[in-house]
Amino acid sequence: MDLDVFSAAHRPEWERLDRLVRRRRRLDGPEVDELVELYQRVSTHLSLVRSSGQDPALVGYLSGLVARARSAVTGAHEPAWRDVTRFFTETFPAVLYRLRWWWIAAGLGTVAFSAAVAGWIAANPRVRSAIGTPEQIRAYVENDFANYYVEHPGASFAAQVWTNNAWAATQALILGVFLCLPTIYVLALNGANLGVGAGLMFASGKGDIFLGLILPHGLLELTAVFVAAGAGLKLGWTLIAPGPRPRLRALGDEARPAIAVALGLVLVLFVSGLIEGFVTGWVHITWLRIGIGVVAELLFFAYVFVLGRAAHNRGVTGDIATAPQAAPVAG
Amino acid sequence: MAYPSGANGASFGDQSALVTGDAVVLDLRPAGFATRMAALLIDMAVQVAALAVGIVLTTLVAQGLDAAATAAVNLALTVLVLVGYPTAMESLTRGRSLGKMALGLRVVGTDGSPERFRQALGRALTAVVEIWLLSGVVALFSSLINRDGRRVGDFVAGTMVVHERAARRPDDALPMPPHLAEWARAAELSQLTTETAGMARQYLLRFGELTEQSRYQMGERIADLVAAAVSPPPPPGTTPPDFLAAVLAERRRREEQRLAERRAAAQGGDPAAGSGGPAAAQGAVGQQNGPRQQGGSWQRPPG
Repeated sequence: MDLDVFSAAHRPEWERLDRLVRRRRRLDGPEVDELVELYQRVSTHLSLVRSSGQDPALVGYLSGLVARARSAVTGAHEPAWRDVTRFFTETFPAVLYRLRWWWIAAGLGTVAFSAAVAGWIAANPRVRSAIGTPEQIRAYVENDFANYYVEHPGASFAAQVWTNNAWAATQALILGVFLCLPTIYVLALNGANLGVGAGLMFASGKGDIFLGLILPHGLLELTAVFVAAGAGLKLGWTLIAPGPRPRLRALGDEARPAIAVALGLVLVLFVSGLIEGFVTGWVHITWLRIGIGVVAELLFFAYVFVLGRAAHNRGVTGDIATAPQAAPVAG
Repeated sequence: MAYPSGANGASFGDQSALVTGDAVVLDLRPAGFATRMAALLIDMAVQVAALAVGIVLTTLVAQGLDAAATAAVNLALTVLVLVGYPTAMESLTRGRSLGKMALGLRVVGTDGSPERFRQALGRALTAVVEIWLLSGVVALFSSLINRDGRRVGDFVAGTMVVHERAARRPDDALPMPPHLAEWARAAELSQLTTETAGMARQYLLRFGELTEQSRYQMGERIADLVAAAVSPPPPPGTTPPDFLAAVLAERRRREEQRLAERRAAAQGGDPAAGSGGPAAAQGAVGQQNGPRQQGGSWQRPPG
């Protein structure tokens, strides 16, 4: 095959494909058919020219053309609503279920750490005096802690809490990529904060108030943070121990579902933000307040262990439908 | 990774190859870190400008709002600009932000597939850490070390950034040197192998990029190879580039002619047209087997 002849013979098709790709948003039916047909034909041309090994420049030109045509042919957006529904009924719960041990472990570990910090502070007056003067601690215990939830109008406070938590959870997740360490740091910091608050309140005999104010929103909110951290830890661990897959590919395979977790958690944290903004400070019947929190938490667990488990067993991995294809690896 | 393993892994040079879902190997050049950094700077300039405008606006609006609402709006604004803008832009344009458009780059999956929403979000979220929080240090090193110039966000999403603009639009029909047209018309070329012709073609296409020394040496070597398969020898005083160009142009002319005849035969059913090309037949009959040109006898090209 003489390449000059070949390219002279097929040049019109390449130029036609180029024109079609440029106008891809304004094609009529026959033109779309033509686009697909030409895409396949030019792909074949590319592989012919490539295997002749004679003209890298032509191969480069055709590669660019085929790549652009490919993104025109295969890049159609899926119907958004179906995507959203599937996301919340399958993808998100399935990933939550698959990563359950990671976030349950992260949660238990953090709670244990908080409890240890709280116990240490409650048992040692010297630690308390190192944290603040007795006046500061009294102000915190008797006013600040409870007032925090009613300082601002419910809606504003809910919005603030929601944006803050969603952003913090997302960061905890994505920081896991850096070998887990930043995520562990975030968990430890949050656990210590919680522990200090609990320690100070319990030491002053206000443990019931503490639990009454933390539990309504805290159950769901902390669970969401633990889920984010657990997913982040899984990411970092994938980088450390990727198994049979190549390291970077394994990271991609795990990270795309993890991003789904970050997206879903925004909604979970919206619910916990509503509870924190409108229930924690404003519902004065303690059992009702805590009841709302517990119900929200139970609903979340049911979501994970019923919907998620079913989807997981159907084989939903939570990766995007068009994940980059790669050669299979043994193992 | 979509790298074919083993000896097929190296395409031209040692670029890594993208393999599409249709199992066609694409030679797209991965964007190096310098190009990517330039694109990134453009995007960052846009984002910083947007943030500045947003902060001014919220400060103006915030007069009537309480502190919690202001904080919520500020954070939402920051996240929208830092994460929302690249995510929306890249997923709507299938992998291009403003900076990438300016430099002709596109984000594609490791198999050359278009970038999807969740991949764009993964890249944007990682960018917050590796570019905004850590002043780009992680992204820079990752991009420098990785052979495809990928940053951590690309690992997370399974993507890479490629140059989309093709280097050269090939319109490279080699012209026939006029003074050799007569000779070429009667030359016998059928012994010329595709590989040798391809080598000659490469030499001529890259003629302008070679040093004078290698132009001459390489030209002589290839011309010797070609001359061994061509008879009669070219007129004395022919330079290797002219000789090669004449051979290739004539070869191309004959193939085109054959193609045209075949097409005509297929359409009109003309039985007289299909017999191998009259020029080649004439050349084979009319020639004498003169002595082959030996190395060193080529005319040195001017300049």
